[in-house]
Parts: sequence; C-alpha cells; structure tokens
Amino acid sequence: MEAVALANQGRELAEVAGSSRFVVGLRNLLRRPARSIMTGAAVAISMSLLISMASISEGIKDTARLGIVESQEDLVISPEQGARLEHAHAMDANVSTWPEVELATVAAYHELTVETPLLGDKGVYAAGIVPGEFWEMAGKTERERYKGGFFKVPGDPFYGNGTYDGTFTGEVLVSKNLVDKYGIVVGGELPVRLVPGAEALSDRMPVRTGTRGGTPVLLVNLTVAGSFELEYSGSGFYKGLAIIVVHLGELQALAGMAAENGTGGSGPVVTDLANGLSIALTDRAVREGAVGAVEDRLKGAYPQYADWVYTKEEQLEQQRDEFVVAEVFYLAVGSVSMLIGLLFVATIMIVSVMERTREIGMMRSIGISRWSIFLQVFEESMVLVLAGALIGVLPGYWGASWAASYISTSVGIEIQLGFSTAFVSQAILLVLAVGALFATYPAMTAVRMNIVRAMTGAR
Amino acid sequence: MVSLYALSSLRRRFGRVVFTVLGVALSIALTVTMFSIGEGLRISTSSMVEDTQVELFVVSNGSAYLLGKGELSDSTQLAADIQSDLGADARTVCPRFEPDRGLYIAKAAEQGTKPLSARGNGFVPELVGRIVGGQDLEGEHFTAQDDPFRNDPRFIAHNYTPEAFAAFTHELQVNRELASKLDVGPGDSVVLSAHYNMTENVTCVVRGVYQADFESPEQRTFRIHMSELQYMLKRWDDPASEILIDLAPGVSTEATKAFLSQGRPYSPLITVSSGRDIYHELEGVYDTFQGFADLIAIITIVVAMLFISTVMIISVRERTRELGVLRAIGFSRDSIFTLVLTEGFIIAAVGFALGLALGYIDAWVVDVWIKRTVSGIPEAIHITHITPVVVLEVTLVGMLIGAVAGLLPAQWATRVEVARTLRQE
Repeated sequence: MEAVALANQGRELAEVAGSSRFVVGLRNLLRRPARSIMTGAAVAISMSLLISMASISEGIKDTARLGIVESQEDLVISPEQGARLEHAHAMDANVSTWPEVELATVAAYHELTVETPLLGDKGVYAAGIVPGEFWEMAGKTERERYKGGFFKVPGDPFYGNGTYDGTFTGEVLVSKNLVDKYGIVVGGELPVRLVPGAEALSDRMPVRTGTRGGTPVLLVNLTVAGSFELEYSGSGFYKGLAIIVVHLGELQALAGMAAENGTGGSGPVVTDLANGLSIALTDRAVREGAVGAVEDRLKGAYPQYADWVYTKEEQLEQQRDEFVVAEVFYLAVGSVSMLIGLLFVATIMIVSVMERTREIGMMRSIGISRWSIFLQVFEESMVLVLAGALIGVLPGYWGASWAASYISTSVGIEIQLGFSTAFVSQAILLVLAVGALFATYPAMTAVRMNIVRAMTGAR
Repeated sequence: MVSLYALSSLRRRFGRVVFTVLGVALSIALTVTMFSIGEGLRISTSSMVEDTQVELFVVSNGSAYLLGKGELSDSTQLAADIQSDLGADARTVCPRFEPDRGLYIAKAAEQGTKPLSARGNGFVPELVGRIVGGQDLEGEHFTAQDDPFRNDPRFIAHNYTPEAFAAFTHELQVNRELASKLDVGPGDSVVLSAHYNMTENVTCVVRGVYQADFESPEQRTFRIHMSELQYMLKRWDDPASEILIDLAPGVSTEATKAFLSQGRPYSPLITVSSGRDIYHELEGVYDTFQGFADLIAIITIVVAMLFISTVMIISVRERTRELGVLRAIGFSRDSIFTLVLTEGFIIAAVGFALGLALGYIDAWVVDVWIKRTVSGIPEAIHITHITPVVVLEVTLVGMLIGAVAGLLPAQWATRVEVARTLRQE
C-alpha cells in the first residue's frame, strides 16, 4: 500500500518540474474539495459582508457630499446655538457689492403649521429663500429635485425696501409627500397658520381668521406653485417630515422673523432675522485664492457671526467628521468579518501543510528550493482568498441593495450605493493584500520544516 | 482524564487551535458589540423618557413630538385648564418654553468680551413638581418658586421697556457647557440680552449649574423664569413649546390622553403624546439598526461555525489511527465522543471568554468614540449597553458554536472502526 502511494507521490512530484506551481496548488486544493469549498465559502461570506458594509458607508458619504460639492457656495455663515442673522437682507446687499462676490443669498427656516385637505393640521418645516438667487446657487442634483414646478416670481418683493409691505406673492413649493398623502394639489391653495407672536405685520399680509375649537387663529392662504422631491423616502422615522418653501420675506413675516413689537408699545421694529447667508465668489477671486481674504473680511465686518463662517472645505470637513463614524463603523464590521475569513484560510493551510509534511520533505529532498515551496503554499492560500473574494462580490452587491432599501423603508433615508468597478477592485485588492499577510504564516511553516524529521514522519 | 487527554491533543495542534480560538473570539466580540448597540439605544431612550416622570407631553396641534414642533399659545391658561380638568389625576402640569431663537449671554465681570449665544428654557419652578430631565451639578434652585414677573403691569399690558427688567427675579441656571464656556459658577453674575451688542440687557445671578438628559454635550442652554424669557423676546402670546404632565399613581396614561385629545375646548389646539408614543417614533430606527446588527452577527457566527467545524472535522479525520488505537485499548464509543466533544467545547469556551472580554472593551470604545465624534447626541443616551439579555444571547451563540464544533466531529469519531483502522498499519 505504502509503496504504491509513494510511487504515486513520486510521479506527481516529477510532474512538478514540468507544470506550473499554480496548477499544482489548484490540484492540491481539489484533492481536498470539502475543506476548500468550506474555506472559500467562508471567505465569500466575509467578502460579501465587507462589500455591503463598505458600499453603504460610501453611499452615505457621497449622498451627503454631493449637495456641498455641486453648490456654487464658496462661503457660508450658518449661526448655531440659537443665534440668528439680524438685518439679513441688508447684510446680503452689502456683501453682494464686494468685488470678489459673484452672488450672495440669505435663507431662513422656521416650523409652521399648515391646514391639509385630507389630514387637517400638520407641522412642517418651512424654508424662506430668494428663488432666483437660490436657483443660481444650487447644484445640479439640487435643481433636479424641483422638476415639479418652481416659483414664478424670482425675487423677494414682499420685503420691499426693508418695510415688508411689497407684493405678497403667496407662492409655496411643497415636498412631494404633502401632495401624495395630505391631498395638497399643485395650483391649489394651502392655508398656513401665522406663528403665534408674529402678528406684528399681520395687517400687511392677506390674513384671514379661522378657528380652532372656538379659539381664533390667523391664517394666510398660499398658492402651491409646485412640488419637489425630498432626499427622504417618506416612510419610517422621517415619514412625517414635510417641508415647504416660500419667499424669504414672506416666511419671515409668517414666522415672526421680520419684525417685533417696538419699545414702549410703539409699532413694529424690523429685525429681519435669518438662519444663513451663502456666498459664491467670482471665478477670478477663487482662482486667485481670495476665499481666505473674503472670509477674513466677513469676520471683520460681522464679528458676531465670526464663529459660524465656513468655507466649502470646512463644510466638507465638518461633514466628514459627522460621517466618519458611520464609515469607520461599517468598515470595522466588514473588516472583522473579513479577518475571520482570512484566519480560516490560514488555519486550513496550516493543517494542509502539516498533513503534507512527508510530501514537502520529499520535494525538498529532490532539490526543490525553499522559495518554491513557500510560493506554492502561498499561492494555494491566495487562490482560496481570490476565489472567495470574487464569489463574494455579487452577494455583497445584493446585500447592499437590500440594506439600502431596508433603510429607505424603515428609517426613511434614501442611500445611493457607492458601488462601482473601481470600488470593487479596491475591495478585492485590499482583501488580497491582507490575505497575503495571512498566507505568509502557513507558507513559512512549510519552509521551516526539517527535511529529516519530515521524511521520517517525526513531528 | 478525558479532558486532560483533550487538552494535550489540542496542545499538539497549537497553531491551528490558536487561530480557531481567535476566529471564534472575534465573532463573539462582534456579536456582543452588535447586540449591545440595539440594547443601549433602546434602554437609554426609554429610561430617559421614563426618568423625567412625565407621562404625557402636550404640543401644538399637528406637531410630531420629534419632528416639526410648533408652539402653544396662552400656555399658562391652557396648563391651568388641563390641571383643573384632570384634578387629582395630575400631580403636575408644567408648561415649558424653549424657543429656537437664543439670547446672548456674557460674564458680568468681563463686559466688553464677546457674548455667547445660548438657548433659553423658560419655566415656572413651582410647577415643575417631580419632573426631572437631568441633574443639578452645582448650586441651588431658584429662590422665587413662582413666576413673579408675570404679574408685572408692563408684562400684562404687552408694554416692552428695558426698564421693566429691574422687576425680574435676576436668577438663572446655566448648563454645564455654558458654565464652562463662560467660566461661571453659582453666585457669579452674567448679563443677558436679545442683541449681540448687549443693549437692553439685564444682569442675573447664576443660581446653579445643571446637565440636561435631552441636550447634547455641546449645546449651550440656560433656565430662567418663563415670563422673563417671553418678555425679553417680546412674546405676548404666552408661548410654550410643550406642556408636561406628571400623572398620579394608578391613573391610566392612555385614558387621560384620550380624555385630553377629544371633547375638551382646547382639544383641537393640541396633540398629546405619551412617553410610549415618543419612544415609538424612534423605535423604527432602532429596529432597523437592530435588524442590521443581528444580521451582521448571524453572518459572522455562520462563518465562525464553518471555521471551527471544518478544523475539528479535519483534526478528527487525521487522527483516525489514533482514535482506533484508543478504541483498541478499551476506550468506549462514549469516551471517544466525550473526548472530541470536549476538544470542541474547550476551543469554543476559550474563544467565548476571550470574545466576551473583547466585546466589553469594544462596546465601551464604540460608546465613548461615537459620543465624542458625533455631535447632537443627548447626554443620557448610551450607544451600547451590555445587559444580562445580551450576555445570555451571546452565551447561547457560544453554546451553539460549541455544539457545532463538537457534536458533528464527535459523532464522526465514534464511527471509527477499530479493526479496519488498525489493519491499515
């Protein structure tokens, strides 16, 4: 029996010289199909988890970055901790005259309550913008969301010259879920409740009085000029999130951000509050690196907002900080799983090397170099890693798509998967690189084997 | 005897055993972390809501508690109406005004330095009752328990004049972040104004420093008597962001919610949510995360099981001759079964212990790191929490891995035929 086995082994070994190491490695793996399949499957499962996790984290990052990268905005003032821009229109007008500035625009945000045809009162987030300036400032993806109609009046006529007594356009854009679920119709009317305490300018708006359980409430009828897509899917946690967009001056008046009661019972005093100022610089100013200079000028002219001035890079950096957690988390999970898969490969290869002690001893004794043996074992491991990695790509993609749709329905955030050829190749290269480290150990074990002990079968 | 033999046979295959143990440990550690995240968010959110002692949260009609909250008007009257309707059923009905727009605040001794913006939280100390939502770190409560400025003729007449500030109680509490940024503590004076240039200001004494559960560590807030905050913002409609209700023991939260939501004169003006409702708004998000985490854990466990069972099966197969000899010298099938089972169990147990320890460290690191990196997480939220349930779940997983690692190969080992194995010699 033993003699026949040895003769067979000898024949195989003789073939080694003539055939490539790769083929021998492959044959070795095929000699033990069960364990090779198990190991490959484990690597494939780990790889698919790594790919899913990484493409989700890339997707989250990309979705968020896009808005900032595409926007024309080079500088932004965005006060936090309850601070507001005061006399925002004047600030906008002033900054717009600076030679480096191409365009500046102000935005304000406030919660409002609207009366919906189907489901009654509904709390919404309202944004106040100057439509023409907003459109110029917005990037491609942002603009595409407004396919369902936009403002007819590009300016902010109601603001007048700081008197808030110009034409009240009443134009409003609503997020699509308000149309879908609350029965709001484009072209129809949308009654909005004046925010309590915002009565200072009520005589200058088309206000009517309604009632809520016998209590009078002030309402303004807006006209729905269009609907827009949200980056939220309209289900899960964000299903109740609804947004409307109106002209800046009109939001300020509706929300009590335009004026407040004067001292000693005198008439309204204009406050012109807003939440953010976006500035686009001229191409020349950007080319000449004037962003820093404009930033300094802004901080000097408006020291009260100096803590809240951000460049595009700073905005992206802030965002990176926010998403680094998701990124590291998903990558860590994927990597740990990959690590287990690679440990598996290394262990199985150690076992294989141990089992083939005599075979390796024989190869050494007929003059095959340590380096060749190292390469052969190493290649066997790498074949397992590569096969598993390739098999894992498709399930990884399916996993990621499933996860993205799961997040979309249960949380309400739409994620564009970061899945591309470059991404997949990077992932495979990474796995091969780490796999190579793990493959070194069994290969070294094979090389360090003592020929005499291997041949005599002693351990 | 059998366990000693199992140990020594594991020692003979030291390299592969170490790798296998590491694989099991990593998968257990990942499972602990994944399970602990869902538990952490769930438990800390529900305990944060429960700890407040608030059973019902009243906000303006059409508002969702966590998304898009409007303001209530005439809140003092509304709270009084609710209290009189509920009678002894409600221990506390407490309006709270936390406007989006903040005020500016500076240390009094250092006038001229840059004031900081911070959001005010207006309330009436005597109405707070047992309601808490954080802890007092230093100093004391307000000395004026009611809201005295509410009775000032200028407040009643909606007549704004900075001279009226003299009638304020001149007390406030600041949160930890504001105290640290302003470098003030109990007894220090601060200046408060609605304007950055600090015109029309009022000087107040810091009574205490607090930390609120619902606030994130970087948020700057202060507590002040409600009418004073309303007056400084020239709000004459007596606004409140919400009215909090602490019900007497034994009173049904759902029945009271239904009572307030229908048929009362103020019902069309309000939306009433129970702590359960608010928790429910978040539950979907947590469920998603939990589902994800569970799936990741399961995938990792499957890989670990594949790993350990393959290694064990190989180990048994290469020892066919050894097992045959053992049988020949009188080891029963049962002993062989126990031997292999013990080997699998030892690998799983060591991997489990190592993985549990790693998981504890991991869960702690994740909690600290996420809270430090992501802004806006409330103080009282713990991302991870290793509860007995988590430990139990992970132990079951460990036992499952152990069983797979031991049972199948052990069964295999008992099938070794003595005569045929020895004849191969």
